[in-house]
Amino acid sequence: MLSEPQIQRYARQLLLRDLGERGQEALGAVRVLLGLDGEAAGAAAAYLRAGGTEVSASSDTAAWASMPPLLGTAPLRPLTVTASPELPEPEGVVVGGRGGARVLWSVGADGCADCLRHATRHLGPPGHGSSGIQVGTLVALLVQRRALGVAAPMEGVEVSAAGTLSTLVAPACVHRPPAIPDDVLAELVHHLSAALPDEGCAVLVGGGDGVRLVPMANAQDAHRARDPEAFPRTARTAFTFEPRAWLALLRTLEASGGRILAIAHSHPDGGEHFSAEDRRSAAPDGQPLYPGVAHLLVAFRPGRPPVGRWGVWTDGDFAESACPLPEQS
Amino acid sequence: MTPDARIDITGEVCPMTFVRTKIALERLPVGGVLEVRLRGDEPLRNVPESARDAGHTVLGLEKLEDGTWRLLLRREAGRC
Amino acid sequence: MPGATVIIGMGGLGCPAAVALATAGTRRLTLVDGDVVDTSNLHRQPLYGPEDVGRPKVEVARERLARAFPGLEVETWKKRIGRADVDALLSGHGLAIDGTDSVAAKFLLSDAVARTRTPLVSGGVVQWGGQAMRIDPAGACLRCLYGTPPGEDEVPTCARAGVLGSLAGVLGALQASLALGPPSPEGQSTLHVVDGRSLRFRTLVVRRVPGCPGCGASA
Repeated sequence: MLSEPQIQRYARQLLLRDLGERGQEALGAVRVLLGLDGEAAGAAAAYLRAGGTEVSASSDTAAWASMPPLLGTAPLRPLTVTASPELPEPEGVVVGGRGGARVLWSVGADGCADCLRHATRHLGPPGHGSSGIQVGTLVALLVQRRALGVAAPMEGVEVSAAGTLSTLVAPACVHRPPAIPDDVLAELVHHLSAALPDEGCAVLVGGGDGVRLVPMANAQDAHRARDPEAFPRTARTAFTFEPRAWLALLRTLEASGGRILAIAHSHPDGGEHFSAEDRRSAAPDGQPLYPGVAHLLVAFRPGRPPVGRWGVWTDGDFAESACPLPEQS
Repeated sequence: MTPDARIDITGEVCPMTFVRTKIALERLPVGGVLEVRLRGDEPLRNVPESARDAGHTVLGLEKLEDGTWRLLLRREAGRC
Repeated sequence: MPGATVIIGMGGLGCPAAVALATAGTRRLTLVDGDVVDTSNLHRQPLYGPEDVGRPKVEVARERLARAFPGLEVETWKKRIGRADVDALLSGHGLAIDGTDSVAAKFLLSDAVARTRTPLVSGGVVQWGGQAMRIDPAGACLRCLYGTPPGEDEVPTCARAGVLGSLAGVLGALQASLALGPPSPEGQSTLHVVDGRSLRFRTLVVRRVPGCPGCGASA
């Protein structure tokens, strides 16, 4: 509950949609560690403090009135503002320079650190210039959005040398496996177990109407029958999509605007990790064949529940993680 | 109708009239009813409309003997 | 001050614009505002502190700016701009920044650009959004963009009087950048639109309307 002096000070802000009493308290619950200097730091600190957020910074406030925020309780949640190449941890804003422009990225605890690293890899330090006040006020806006909980996991702004502002949109995250609902996972396990003792395969697609399973047939044996030299392995230890079915799927997705989230296959022999063969198929020259697509493995073990495993190609490396499977009925 | 909370903003000027109203509404659970005593043309015009803009429901507005008005608002879901 | 920049309105837009201009090396500023500092201003006008409440805004602003920027010359007009003095004010300066808070004042200033040949950076913020546009004598004006101004009898609700402080800072700083930048190409102006709620920034080109009552009549 806000005190009377707080209500008086922040009245014009309390009127905003998405920022009432709770929003004002959220602004006060955050403590900003400001790792910038110069005019940008002065402007950011001035606006954040004016709006009700505590800022730890060397006070080069220049023209700004030095005004501590009116707080209810002591702030608990740290947000860092850094200058590239240093990145905020776990959440906050980074400011960098690219040519004459300034780039600002804001990341939340629900954001992806790898995505942030990727987006900022070409940025230099922010430098100092006449756009310092523009940068500082934008830092304040981004921090306030993060504190209020209205910010995307990762969002950004660019300030051109002339001062024009443009939106930066974070690309879809390719570093972490996609979220697949339990009922779709159950459907997948059912389809893969029906292919036993051969490897089963399927595709998981996402679009406007959510995530769905596209069961596929394993064409490995049919290929081997036609060309045993090119396809030495059997369907017991390898899988290939039937080419026409695969093309048809791609065409459907292009028309509907959906995208492939993951390619799934099974190990009938219980191997719980992606084999060297699996990795070679996914990335023949070390480069993923389908960038942005995750790989899902289901290992079947006799007498025990199946085990799921994710594999995601990121920065030339194949990162594995567990995929909890729902209990089979 | 018995309101869940009452505020008197007859002594306030815009926009503090709606600031007080908004805070009082936000402190109620969804479905809660707030009674607002207000006075003057500007609050009369602005407070009900602002409440509606913020997504809440005007349940009633009546003029009282002493020239003030009694406004009843229902707190609805969604961020304030 | 001939050649100097005048900031009309030292509120949410005027404060960051003034600091941004001074930071960028502007040497002469004129500040115009008839109001005194109010507690409700403090969250979005960080040139003023709690101890300044009740004092005229232009006086406090001049003190703070003069102290922070020793080479800066600041003149002040403690009054609200009106039809009687707008032409003289703009003619006497090289560039103007609109930090006003009323539709009437914004159109008053916009209409004066063609008459006085003084470029103006128009701007406004409300709630989570804002706009800025540089109006040059040969460019498009507010009437080219909006047609007739919204009626004065459209009293905004109290809720619409809310504004996010940092957003006002972003717009005021943007206005300063546009003031420091080049004039618009002839026959057009660029409208900068900021949506702080969706974090979307757009620019739109506004073309001059032939015969526009704001800028086309006197050419």
